[in-house]
Amino acid sequence: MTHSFQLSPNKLSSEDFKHSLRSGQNEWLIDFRVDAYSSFLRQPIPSRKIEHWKYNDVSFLKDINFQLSDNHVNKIKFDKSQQIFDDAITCVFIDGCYSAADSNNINELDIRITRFLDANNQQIDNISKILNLSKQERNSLVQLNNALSSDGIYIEIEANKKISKPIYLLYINSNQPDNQLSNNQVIINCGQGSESLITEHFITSDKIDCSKNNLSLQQTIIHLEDQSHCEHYRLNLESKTSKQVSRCLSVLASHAKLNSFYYSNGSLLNKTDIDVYHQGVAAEANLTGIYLPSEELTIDYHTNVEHQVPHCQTREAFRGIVADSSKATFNGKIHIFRDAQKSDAQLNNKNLLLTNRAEINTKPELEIYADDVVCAHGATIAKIDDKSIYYLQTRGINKTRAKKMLSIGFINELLDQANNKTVNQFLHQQVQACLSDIS
Amino acid sequence: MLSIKNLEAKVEDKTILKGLSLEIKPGEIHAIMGPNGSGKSTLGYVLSGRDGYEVTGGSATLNGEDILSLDADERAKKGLFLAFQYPVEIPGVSNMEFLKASVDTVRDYQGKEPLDTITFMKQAREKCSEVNLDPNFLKRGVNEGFSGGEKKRNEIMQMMMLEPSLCILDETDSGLDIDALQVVANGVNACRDEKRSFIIVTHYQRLLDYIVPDKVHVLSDGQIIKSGGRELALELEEKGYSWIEKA
Repeated sequence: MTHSFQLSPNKLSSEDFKHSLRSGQNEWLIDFRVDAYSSFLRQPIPSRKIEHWKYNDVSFLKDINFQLSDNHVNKIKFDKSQQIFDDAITCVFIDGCYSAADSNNINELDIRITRFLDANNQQIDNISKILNLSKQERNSLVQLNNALSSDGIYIEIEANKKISKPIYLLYINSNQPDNQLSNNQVIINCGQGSESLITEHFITSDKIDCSKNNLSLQQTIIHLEDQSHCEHYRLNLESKTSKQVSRCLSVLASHAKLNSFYYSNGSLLNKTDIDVYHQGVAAEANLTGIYLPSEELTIDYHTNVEHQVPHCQTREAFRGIVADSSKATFNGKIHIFRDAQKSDAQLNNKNLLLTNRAEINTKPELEIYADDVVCAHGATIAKIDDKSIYYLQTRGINKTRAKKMLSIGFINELLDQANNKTVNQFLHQQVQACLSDIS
Repeated sequence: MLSIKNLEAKVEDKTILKGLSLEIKPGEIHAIMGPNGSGKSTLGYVLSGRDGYEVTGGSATLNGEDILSLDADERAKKGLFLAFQYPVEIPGVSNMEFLKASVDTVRDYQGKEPLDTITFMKQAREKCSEVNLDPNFLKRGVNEGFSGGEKKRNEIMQMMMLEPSLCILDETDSGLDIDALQVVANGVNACRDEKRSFIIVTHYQRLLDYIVPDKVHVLSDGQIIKSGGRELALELEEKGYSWIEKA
């Protein structure tokens, strides 16, 4: 089923949208999807007039007659050496669609990977419950992704099991055909007391970009049950011309622990909403992010951490080096609900600007309704410290190299938060390569 | 070795060095003393090539070669070393990585054999213990979270590794307790040989009890107003700078 779709001005009405779904599969999803579509309609089309989109140029969206490719896997060639892990539980998505042929080790013990299409009744209940947590009225394209999700992948990790192999989700954008609107939905349920390592890796198969009117929508929801531990990486390494709007939502039950690490080199449009909901007491979330845009690329991270219950902890640190004429946006919000006493949250964002054309828009926010909490937030924007450059120079290291060392040092401090050796090494290489042109 | 003639320099339109001359022969130790604001630290910055310190007159040559037109890193490669009064902290860059990059560059320039990693590590650990620094410091960020004394000892450690021909110690004694002072002095004395020269900038003659200078100069308002042997330092300690300035 392929049909076209316009974001404006000729949007389908909710009724027509619902009608268009009638003949489709996954009928149990219809109510959720129509609901999401209505929410999408209620919100204005993204533009710079809306705060959430203030720093993104999304004007290209309005005239495109997008082609939807429902569950049809595009044929592509991709270089397997781009994969980070050799031996992992690997799920490959091509233009948002799950490609069983390229996936690997998906029948390991203690983990079940199921397409929404094949879900049994109990799984349908779980998926519906988790999907309902993803409703929000902030980013209409997230709602559009929900509305378009005729299928998805549901990953269940058994209670009290440690998954020894990494779970590797590889999202490949083929950048073809033109005008393609791809969408994707992944739900991960970390069973009670389970331990897992999840790496999400976004790449483009074709380095030569000819088409410009693609848009990828994506959402990952990680649902952490009581006492589960999840180490999570989300690496955006698409080609420069790719356009992606995505969201990663984590919901933590009591004593759950999430370490989530984000990395991006930027692209024409690269916007990630990160939501973390503390819904069980004594949950702990550590969010780390690194962004290194260059040329005229952009990066946008909007994070929103909600302490809905007492005694939860959040540590959030994002750092960026913004080069050339690139632009980065960081908006980090921590929201402490009225009953969330004894919350402990810290947020900081540090930026280095390498040129006077580079742009960073940063906004750390605290919204606190409880009266017995420890919260801190801060942001800095600076250039590479002249005194440090001079110090290295007096030790024989030339200016260019000094700048490079200092930039890498600035990032290294956070890079060590990437505990997994394989990912850590991979990221070290990425950072080195990315900062090799500093002069 | 080092020959400074009528050196004039300014920072942001303020002239600080006003015709300073100094001759240092190989193997000599010269102490420079003087009141606050006399230009002692500026001399170190100007000689090492810090941006923003503009030379407006005079000359400075190291081993017969003009150094004032060179970038700071070029001067370091030619054997000039400045131990800072306030070394910067550089989190994220490990001491080891930094020191290796530095030593490799300088040795390469000077045509010395490169040190393989094992030899380098061995040397670095040895030098650490000579200045009483825990070798674990090598793994930490450059000067990150170091105490004042540890930073100064780290400077001396770097000096030992780089084997410079001219060492400028900018108030390396300030803020040190007596034990640390002795460690620093021992480090300097261990580096002394007939070729290596030192400029020791200090406020107090105390350091000169441990590092015996060949000459003592008094810097005031950007010029050397008096020079003498080590007894000059003792006299200064007793009578204060006003004694000379008035004269």
